[in-house]
Amino acid sequence: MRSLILASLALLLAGASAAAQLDARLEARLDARTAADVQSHVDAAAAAGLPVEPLVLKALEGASKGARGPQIAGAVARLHTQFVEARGALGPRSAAGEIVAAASAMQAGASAETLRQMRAARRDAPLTTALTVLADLIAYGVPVADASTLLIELVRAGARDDQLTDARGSVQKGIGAGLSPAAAAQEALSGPPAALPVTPGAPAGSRPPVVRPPTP
Amino acid sequence: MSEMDPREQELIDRIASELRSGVRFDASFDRRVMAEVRRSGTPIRLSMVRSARRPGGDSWLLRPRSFQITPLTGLAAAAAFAAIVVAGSVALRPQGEMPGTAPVVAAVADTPAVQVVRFVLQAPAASHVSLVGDFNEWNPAATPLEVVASEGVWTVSVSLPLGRHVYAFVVDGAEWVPDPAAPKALGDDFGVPNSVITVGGSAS
Repeated sequence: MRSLILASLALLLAGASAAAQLDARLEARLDARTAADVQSHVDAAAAAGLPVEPLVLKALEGASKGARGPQIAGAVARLHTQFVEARGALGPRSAAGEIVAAASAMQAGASAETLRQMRAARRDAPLTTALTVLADLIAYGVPVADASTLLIELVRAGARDDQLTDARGSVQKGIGAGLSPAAAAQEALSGPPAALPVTPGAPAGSRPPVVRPPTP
Repeated sequence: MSEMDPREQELIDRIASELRSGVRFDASFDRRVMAEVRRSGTPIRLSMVRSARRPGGDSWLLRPRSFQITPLTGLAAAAAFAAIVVAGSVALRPQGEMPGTAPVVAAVADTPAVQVVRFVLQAPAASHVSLVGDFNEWNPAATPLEVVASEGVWTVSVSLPLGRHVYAFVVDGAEWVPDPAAPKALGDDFGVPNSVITVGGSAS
């Protein structure tokens, strides 16, 4: 709710600003009203320091798919809100890539609380890869709760980005070999701790990954 | 889309497997090359002979000339050539790929932040297929696929920046088809599902 209010306020501020210039791509592929609606979200996002290109691309996707104007404007508004929520969860200094990846994870079903816990576990390094892996695992069919728990545990344990992508690859292989997504996640991430060594020089308190098997 | 015929599946698996297979040298390759180099010992002489003489004298371009290459240089050139061949033919499985005809990263990159990804779709009845996604502004005219022989296998290679990309195929300008061999992107907003591929780890 708070995010919605923030998004609306940002929208009003952007609308009150000087006449915004319409993105040529929106102008070319959307009707005038929809283009203006989308542009208002783009301007609001820009004013708030949020990513804007994904908003334009979302509108262009809708246009190419023949969606109606309100449907397109609604999809852009949802994505804008997700950006606001993602940054709220990850913190005001989040990078654009993190926000986009977090929005993908949220769109897949991950909660803002999961994002907060991941940020709490990794404050000084980007979470982009971790969030991307989270979204990917959910897309592969790993239950949201299991994927969220696993990523939180791995990030807490100091797993490096390459280790996270390796884990994702292992899940894919497991699924390709006929395991269920949940079982593949369990299989890939319940290997010996040596398979996921803690980053040298990891912050004090780091520990080997605690592998908690996904719930059946 | 209708259920895929097992024979068609077998065909596309074979083609995909061929596309992914690397160039393999047998274990004795290095040994045999080095033995040959040691055996020859003398520089290898290559001559460029003009293919046609023109009356009225030689031009610089047509003048015969020779190059001398030491065995070591020749070996290095051969190795470089082999590397180019291998780089051009090896197809690595990308992060995010599922079995079947999932997009493959062709391992050729203009910059470290870009990888070439090969997309494949089997659509025997199609007369035109294009690739659309967040990387080409969802423009159906931007990235047409080419049909491979006459088996209805369509393919295109695209340079993609690292990161997560959402895409789909458009068949005959009207039918939107997610990649049957790639994970579906969750949270579709327009009632037409997309597929997702993550190139590299992700963009930072």
